Amino acid sequence: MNRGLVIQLIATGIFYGTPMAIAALGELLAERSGVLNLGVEGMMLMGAVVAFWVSRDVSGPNGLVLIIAVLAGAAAAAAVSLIHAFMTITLRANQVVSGLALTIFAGATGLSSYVGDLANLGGNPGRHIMNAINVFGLKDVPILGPIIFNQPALVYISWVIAFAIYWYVNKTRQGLHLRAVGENPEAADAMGVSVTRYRYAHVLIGGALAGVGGSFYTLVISSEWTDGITSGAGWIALALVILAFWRPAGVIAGAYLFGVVSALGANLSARGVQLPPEVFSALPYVLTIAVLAIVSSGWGRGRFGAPAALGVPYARDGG
Amino acid sequence: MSKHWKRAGGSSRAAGLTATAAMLVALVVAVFGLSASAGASTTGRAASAPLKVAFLYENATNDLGWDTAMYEGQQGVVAKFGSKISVTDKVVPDGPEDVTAVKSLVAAGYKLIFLTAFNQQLYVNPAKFPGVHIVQAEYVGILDKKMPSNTSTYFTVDADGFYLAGMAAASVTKTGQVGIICGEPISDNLAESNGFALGAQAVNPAIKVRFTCTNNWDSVSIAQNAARGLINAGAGAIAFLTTGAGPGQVAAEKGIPWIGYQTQQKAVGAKSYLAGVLWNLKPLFLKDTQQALSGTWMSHTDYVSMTEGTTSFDESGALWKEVPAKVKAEIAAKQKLFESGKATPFSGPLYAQSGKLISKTGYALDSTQVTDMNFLVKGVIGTIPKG
Repeated sequence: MNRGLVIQLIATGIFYGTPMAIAALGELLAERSGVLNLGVEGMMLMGAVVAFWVSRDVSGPNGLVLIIAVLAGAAAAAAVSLIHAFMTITLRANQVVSGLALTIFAGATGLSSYVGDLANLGGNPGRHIMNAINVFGLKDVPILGPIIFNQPALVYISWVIAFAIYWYVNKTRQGLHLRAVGENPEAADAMGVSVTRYRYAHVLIGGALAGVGGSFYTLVISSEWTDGITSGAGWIALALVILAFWRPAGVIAGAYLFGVVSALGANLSARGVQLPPEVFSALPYVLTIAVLAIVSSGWGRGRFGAPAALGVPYARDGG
Repeated sequence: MSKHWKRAGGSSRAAGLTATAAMLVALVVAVFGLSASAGASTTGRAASAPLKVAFLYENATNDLGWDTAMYEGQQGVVAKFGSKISVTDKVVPDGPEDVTAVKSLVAAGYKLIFLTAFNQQLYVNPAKFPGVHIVQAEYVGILDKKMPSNTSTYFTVDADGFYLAGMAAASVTKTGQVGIICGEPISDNLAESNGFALGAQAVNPAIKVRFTCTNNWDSVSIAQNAARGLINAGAGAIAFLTTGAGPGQVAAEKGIPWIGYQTQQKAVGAKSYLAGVLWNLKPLFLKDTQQALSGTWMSHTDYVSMTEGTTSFDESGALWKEVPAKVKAEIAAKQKLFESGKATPFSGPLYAQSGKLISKTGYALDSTQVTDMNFLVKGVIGTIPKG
């Protein structure tokens, strides 16, 4: 029963959707503070390459090395996001241009590729892999076993992150300040909230989460580094934030939808249904375009729109 | 990487452009009354100077796939000929850079150049380098209908190795199913997949053999995605024909027995490694180097497998002990027959997936039928993608 197509698709969809979910949760925080960061793909690649490097060169027990590797990936991506924060918050540069530059700078033909060459990471299998956990020994329970009780640790961590972000944004004082900074920075400033500090903090956390998402590719999915290994997941993460109307639960659900689509081709092919592989390769991106079209023309726009100050630099003198 | 026999779409345009360029060059050469194929025989070189030999790789030499297998061949050549030769190697990703690299090697006096698998021939036309011996893996005449006289090639057709692997896989699977991942649906990947299926059926006629094609050689994540698909669908042992050991990692993670290919990949997932179909390209490279050294080099085409000793069957897997003694004996017997050339995986009665009789009892497919294979055998679940 647990080998059935639908159950396996959902389980694999959660697996493939998780890195996009984590990166999108990070982008959600940055955008909630009013900073659009189009550099997600580049930050994910930096996280992926650095996490893999650390996992290869640090020795120790499997679990500990993986934790250090994920944290290193997060730190590397946060460092890249610092460039964006400085450009857009301190220098008030155009956020779109700076974000795009970040993806090119750190991306598949940029810094991440250089780091991979420098450390000779290509073509080597990883020494540490994050395997699925058999939670409470329940992995063979019908239906829920493979879906919920047999995933790698980062999947469960992503659920905790999503809930924490929901709680933080909606139920805490700092969350209220964050929303104020994203919706109406003048008002927040007048309340005594430091717009600059909030924006820096959330762009950096967003970068770190993009790095964690990236590390999922090299520590969990593939356990190997190749240039551009995220193959567009960062762009999908950006679309996810919009699709989810800037809400964490929506990000998780949307990411799993993309995950299912990513897993569809291989699962159908293994069951004797052959469609052109190009169709399946293109599906996540087709879905991205469809989602953006629906959301932008949509019914929920008025109620669930973007943070009002998204993309707008803030200067106290109104400059 | 790269056993691209027929490449669809984009590459054919590149090939077309290059072919046009090649024609223009040929025209210019003809106008000046020169012959492009002249001087492809022996090379005059001073007895004392070492022969300059170059290896041009497509991926990193530690890719655990074709490049690694070839690199092992290079090391064999270096060990054998020592100071008689001077060896260099280079990694050049597919593209017009291949031509630049070959040109600079030729200019630096390299007389014997080994090119990796298929993709490099999309760019490098050996006919433009008369007087230099070029060994191109799987030369299929992309740029030029017939192989230039300064070129040699070899094809590895591992249907026999995968037949043995199929026998082993069928005897250890706990689900009554096995699966194989093909790279692109070219004839030798189909022959290898069919060999795997026939071997599995020889041990268990009721076995379900799942077949999936990724239409991609190099991407580890695509191959791993395919492995997850096969295992999700119930495959209890898997083999793969793509480059690198990615699917082996996935199998090991899920505790599923797996078959390595091309090079010793055990390390990526040792605990559920079952067996391997391993290459040994050294004899081929030694032959070319020896001939180039003695001035007797001639263009040749080799179809190699277990019979030639260039493929071996690795039984060092941790799970090999789970293969029943009876099956082990059958595998050993079959291996002897393959190695001595007394049997092929494709002996009749042989039926295609559609049920059509391909070969009658007492008859086997001949080598042309194997190298032109375009069907899956009966009992395989899966379809050959178009293109």
